[in-house]
Amino acid sequence: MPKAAPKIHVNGVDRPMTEAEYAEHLAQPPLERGAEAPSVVAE
Amino acid sequence: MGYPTFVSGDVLGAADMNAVGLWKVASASFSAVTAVNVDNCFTSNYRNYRVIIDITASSTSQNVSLRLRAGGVNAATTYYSSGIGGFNAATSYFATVNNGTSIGTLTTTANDRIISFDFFSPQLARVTNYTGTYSDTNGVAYIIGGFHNTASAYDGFSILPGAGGAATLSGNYRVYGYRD
Repeated sequence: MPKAAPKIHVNGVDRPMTEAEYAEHLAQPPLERGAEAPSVVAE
Repeated sequence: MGYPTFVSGDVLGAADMNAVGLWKVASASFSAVTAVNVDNCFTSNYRNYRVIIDITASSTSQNVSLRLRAGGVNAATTYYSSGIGGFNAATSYFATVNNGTSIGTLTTTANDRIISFDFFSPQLARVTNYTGTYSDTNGVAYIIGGFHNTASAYDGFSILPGAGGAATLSGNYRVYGYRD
């Protein structure tokens, strides 16, 4: 886990991830992208 | 006088309150988190739900995805979605995902992007249908819809930043139940 533990939000509360949660987070399957056209205006 | 027309000083009785069609069941803000987990918001109290997510900051340019959740565990298969978007400077855009790992929505570097979704009977042990909308920086609206093709009950959802690792999102969410 990085020196500064990543945070997670669970049911209304932000808190540092546990090591088990971080491991689970890293092991998650890749996420899908939605329908989105290439941006023509830089955000 | 009560529902459907109220006047100053009216006392709201059961008939009036039972006529309320949309009821907020969960809301919170989050700041620089790698995941947002919302549990126990889909219950037998309501059948269908509106989820409004306001992304106010993102640590990097990344997509934002949703997963249904039950008992604290995300469902990461069998999402079937398709979406369309009108694009003002080129052709329109179409995307489809078969047996995906999540519900993909917008890609954002942040800055006030709204995602609005309806989930239909997620708390029942049947296929969960969903429809959603969001807009990009160009003001182009996207509409997506689909279903989670597993006949299981879900009590919540997860909002996930797509860049992985320590990438984060900030914002808030609100969940409303539609009264039958």
